[in-house]
Amino acid sequence: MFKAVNRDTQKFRVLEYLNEFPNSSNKEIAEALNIPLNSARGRKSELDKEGFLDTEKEKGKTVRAVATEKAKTEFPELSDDEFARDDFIDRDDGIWYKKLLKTGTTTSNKWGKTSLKIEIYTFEKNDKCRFDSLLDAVISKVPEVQYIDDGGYSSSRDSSGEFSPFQFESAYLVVKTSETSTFYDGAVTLTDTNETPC
Amino acid sequence: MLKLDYDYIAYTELMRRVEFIKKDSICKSIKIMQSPSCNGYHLYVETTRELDWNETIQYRKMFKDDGQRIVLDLLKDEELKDVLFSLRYNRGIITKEIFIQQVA
Repeated sequence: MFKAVNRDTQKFRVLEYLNEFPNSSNKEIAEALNIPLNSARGRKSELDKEGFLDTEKEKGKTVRAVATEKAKTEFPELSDDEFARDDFIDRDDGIWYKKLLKTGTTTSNKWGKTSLKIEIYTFEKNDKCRFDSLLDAVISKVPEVQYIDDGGYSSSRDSSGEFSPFQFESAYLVVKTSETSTFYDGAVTLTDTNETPC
Repeated sequence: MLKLDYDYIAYTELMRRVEFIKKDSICKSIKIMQSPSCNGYHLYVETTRELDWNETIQYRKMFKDDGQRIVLDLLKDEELKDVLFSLRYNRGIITKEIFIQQVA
């Protein structure tokens, strides 16, 4: 039974070091972290067996060792900003993201399937998931909508967010009933639903 | 960042395209995801410099992004261009992109 990987432990320091300097040898790890060579070898082996390292061996010797996606998911600080998945924390990473929810068709209990077009977006300085917040805002403006038949959520870097008036908790919503007829076109207020990562 | 959508292609073809993208000087790293509808792949190419809209379209064409998506993006208004759904909502069922690998 291995000890769990906790922050500030020798095992975590090895993982952190290998994330920063992939493919380091046991000797390099031991020297950098000031730990015995056998400890570096042992921790590396444990991390490998627990799925935190992706290793490749040649003649029994590790020639490649990099932190896996599992490690980066469990310890978001190992990931770079772009791929961090620690969406529970409102991390201001200095990068603006445009988060949008859009669809072409919806269903209402009054009219059945309609051709309503819904598009809503907001900007935020972290990659936290805002799917539920955006969907709630749509439903608050179009209560007839029971659910969206087919739609999608996207979050991508967009530096124009810095100058946009639609920064979280403000969002821009467009609801069109046809190409020429607009049901709603303007700002809405979002609520923080503290949702799970997208 | 360049976003590429490859629908209905085999994994071998995907990797062939990834190898081609990797060789281009614009490519810093590539994140490969399975699309939420599980009918293809989404590629997020981290670029070595910021690209303007025309360059983005050129690279998307060169890297064989979904042609229909390129055409629609050229016709769309400013706010909603170049969208790849990381999460899809279909009749109440939510599906998400699945991480496959990251290529440096």
